[in-house]
Amino acid sequence: MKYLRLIFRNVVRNRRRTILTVLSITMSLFLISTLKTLLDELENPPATPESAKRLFTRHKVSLGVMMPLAYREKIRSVPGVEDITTYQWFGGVYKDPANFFAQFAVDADRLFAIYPEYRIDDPSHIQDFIKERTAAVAGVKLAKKYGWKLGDRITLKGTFTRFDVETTIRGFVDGGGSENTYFFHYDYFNELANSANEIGTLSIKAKSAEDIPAISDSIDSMFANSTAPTKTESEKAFFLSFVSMYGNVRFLVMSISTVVLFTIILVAANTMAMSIRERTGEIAILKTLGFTPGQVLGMTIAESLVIALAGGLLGSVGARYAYGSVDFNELSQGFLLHFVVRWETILMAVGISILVAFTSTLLPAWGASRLSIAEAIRRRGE
Amino acid sequence: MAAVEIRNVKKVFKREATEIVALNNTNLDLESGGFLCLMGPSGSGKSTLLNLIAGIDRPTSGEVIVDGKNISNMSESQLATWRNHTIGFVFQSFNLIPVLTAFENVELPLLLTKLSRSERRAHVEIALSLVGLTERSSHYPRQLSGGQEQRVAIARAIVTDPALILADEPTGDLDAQSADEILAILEKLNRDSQKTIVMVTHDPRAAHHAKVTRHLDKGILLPEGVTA
Amino acid sequence: MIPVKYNFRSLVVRRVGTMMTIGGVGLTVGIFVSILAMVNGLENTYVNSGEPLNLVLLRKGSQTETNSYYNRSFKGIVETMNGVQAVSGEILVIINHPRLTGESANLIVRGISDKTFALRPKIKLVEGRMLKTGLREVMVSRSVSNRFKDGKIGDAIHIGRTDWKVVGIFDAARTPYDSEIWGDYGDVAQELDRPIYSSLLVRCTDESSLKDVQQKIIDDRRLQMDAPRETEYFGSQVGTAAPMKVLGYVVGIIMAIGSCFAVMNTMYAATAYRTREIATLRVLGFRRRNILLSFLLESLLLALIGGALGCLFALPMNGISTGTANFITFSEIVFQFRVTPRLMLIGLAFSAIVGTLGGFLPARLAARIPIVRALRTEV
Ligand SMILES: Nc1ncnc2c1ncn2[C@@H]1O[C@H](COP(=O)(O)OP(=O)(O)OP(=O)(O)O)[C@@H](O)[C@H]1O
Ligand SMILES: [Mg+2]
Repeated sequence: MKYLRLIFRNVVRNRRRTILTVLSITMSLFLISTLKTLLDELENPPATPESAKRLFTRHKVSLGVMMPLAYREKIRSVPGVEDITTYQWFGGVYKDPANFFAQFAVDADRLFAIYPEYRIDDPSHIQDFIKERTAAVAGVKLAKKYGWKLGDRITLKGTFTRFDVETTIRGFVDGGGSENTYFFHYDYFNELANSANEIGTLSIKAKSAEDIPAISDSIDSMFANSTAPTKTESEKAFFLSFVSMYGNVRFLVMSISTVVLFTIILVAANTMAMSIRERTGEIAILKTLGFTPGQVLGMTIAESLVIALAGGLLGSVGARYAYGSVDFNELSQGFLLHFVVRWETILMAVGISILVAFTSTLLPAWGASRLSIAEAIRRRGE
Repeated sequence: MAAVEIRNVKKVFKREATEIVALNNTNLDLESGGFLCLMGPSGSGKSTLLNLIAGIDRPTSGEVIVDGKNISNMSESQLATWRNHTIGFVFQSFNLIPVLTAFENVELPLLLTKLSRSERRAHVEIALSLVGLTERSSHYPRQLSGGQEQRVAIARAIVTDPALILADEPTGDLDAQSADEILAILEKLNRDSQKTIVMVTHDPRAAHHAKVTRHLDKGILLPEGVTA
Repeated sequence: MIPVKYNFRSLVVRRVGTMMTIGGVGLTVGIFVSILAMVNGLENTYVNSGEPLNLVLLRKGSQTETNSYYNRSFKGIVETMNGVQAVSGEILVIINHPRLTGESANLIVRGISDKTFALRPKIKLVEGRMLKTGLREVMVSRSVSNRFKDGKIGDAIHIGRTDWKVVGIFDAARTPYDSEIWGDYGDVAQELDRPIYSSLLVRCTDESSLKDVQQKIIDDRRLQMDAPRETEYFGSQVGTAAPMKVLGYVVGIIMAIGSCFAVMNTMYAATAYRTREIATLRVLGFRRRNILLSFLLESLLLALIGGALGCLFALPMNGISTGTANFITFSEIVFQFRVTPRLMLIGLAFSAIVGTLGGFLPARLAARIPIVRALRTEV
């Protein structure tokens, strides 16, 4: 610790070089933090106690294939199931195909019980939504984007259905991703579909999260030998299957991060090489004064550590705050609910910085340590 | 015609709060074809005077007229071109470009002229033969001795055929024998090629090669024959 | 002009720093070009795919074949139109099937007709044999075969309620068809219990009759169909590559800024080490401008070597096969990385930008060095 002053002096000796190196490392760790956060948000969206209790049932063949609506009541009576709602995706077009947002046909009277994180703007609007067959509730962000007000009539043109849905907004919802979603009645949807009584996805709420494996087993075995076998999985697994559709995102992120890591090591090593070469003579003098090679190496690594940590923290903490002010839900059109650089990511950045400090110092320091004191003094200033 | 005229030149260096008067009220006339040696204790202003004549520094007041041209009010880029044509500068520490060969170092100033490749080659070869280093033209500076390096530097100074050669302690970093060779070359350039030469030196033996020796002391150019 | 060999040799003298900087720029350009190669490969699957004289008939409003369905009688209406050479009625279904790596993806199963191959002349059977009607046999594309479980000849793929035997492998010349499984129309429709067509592929006799047919179909109120050209139909799905493109540019820009700082560092060091040389050049008559250009050139050289190296680093990516989701059809699209000369030029231009931006400030500093003070510095 008594060497801190000397280490600090060395860090600020060539201020411009230190700043440029720190900035370069900052950019790289900003990028790594971004990629890590992307992976986190896709693979491990933060679970709430509520979301951990939910499951989805769909047709075993694929999402596009419908199941009989009668499954809803059959599943409701499965032990451990507390509640169930239809959750029918409707990829309709609002005015222009560019206006892309999620739309679901649901059981209006069940939705808020199963999704307590969806907050309605006014409690009386829940009743308004339930009462009226063509009522809808809209996410607050959608409402803001398209300038919707209570009572507005919204038409969604069907893409995979033959019909359009014409709805009236009776409330606004916020929270849990609902801010960019549009909900209307499944009963209305079914009526437009000539009462086909078919459903693509059912959302189930379990009495407790522990029951989930048992529930999903009993549901799937109940329909295994029917014309429409099912696949039931936890909400988390259900969303993960979407992520896996993107291909090997994890591998992509890992490859990019590895390359970036090597880049940082090169940048830091270059700086440390310059710094050590400039001080070849000084290092020799320190050795003449009785400093051991280990102490000299330690001080050089400490110097590198200060620089790498400054860059690492600036990059990762900077990313946390920079992204804090961006609405990713809106930016990614609902693809990412939010985008928060987690503290564990910042910890990882610190780890990377330490790794970089060691690897970047070893090579130039090894070169310097091979110089004899006499040679080093002769080279001084060269 | 006078090759160099210095009129009431004053040079002040400002460093933070302190002011250093490096040259005060200096006047000097040097005839074309002259060989002037400047001597004086360290810090007396010799290099400062030489730099003013070379147009790499500007006087605080007064005029510097070289070859009939007042260089005190030329722009930076005019000065650069002017230096290329008019001045050959020889440094104490040679200042060769370490990554270029002797030939390429000498050729460097010619790259600023309109000469063709073969013309440049011819000029470089003449300059190198004048300093007796033809056979070393493909060597890099670190492969040469100090004396040889300085000869390359002189070749570089004369390759554009400037009227004026300025040398700041050209023998300062050399052993006695190499120094004698360098001085002989400078003397020959003055005698046979009528180059005007201004040389700064600490070495009284070097001064013998010059036609005139003037002394500086604390920024004052002393009259001929007066030493500090 | 200060000769370039001066810069070149100066870079060699400081080889350790030079190599590390080149390495940094190289990795940056390499990763940028690699991601662009991925984007390029994916986009290329959609752009220039399909036959120019083919129309894809979709139910009005459905943007894809996978969303579309209509009555089988419509085929007869279209077949009798003037200018129509041939019509292939097909049905599509998406199945969820495991990749070799374990996780599942959606695949398109297309029930094909006897005209399917004729209307898509670029698609060739490369292994095994054509499927036979009524036997629940399938052919898979080579990409699907290499990427998914049960994709070899003789394997069985589970579609609907039954197992379908793989009898052939086809190559669709890097079009979206390379991500499909093909069975017989009748078999697939029967398995799904859906006597419908998802799409009709219509071959017109020539360009002018194509326009007529297109108009006639759109105007026919019985049909209620859209009729994009096959090329336009695939071209409209190119947006699939958008997220990847965003990723590429985000990574590229952030890394470029980081590399700029690294290049700056190296070039500042270069000017510091060569202060005396710069002053000497100025004494010899070189102007500030010459010095500025020389150092800028050196920085450019440094970055361009890195850029070239980065392109080389990305080159082996060419042809690597991977897949992602097409969220319009909701199914997997298989594609290959494509490193083209154009991409390499982009990589070089990218490194040139890094070199120029990173080199400018140091070069300006070098040009501004006062001669007299520089000559006095001990280096
Ligand atoms: N760039 C500068 N900034 C500040 N002071 C300077 C500068 N150049 C010269 N001086 C000062 O001006 C005075 C004259 O310096 P100059 O270099 O001309 O001396 P000199 O006679 O050449 O000495 P030496 O024999 O040691 O080379 C000295 O006091 C020196 O410190
Ligand atoms: Mg001096």
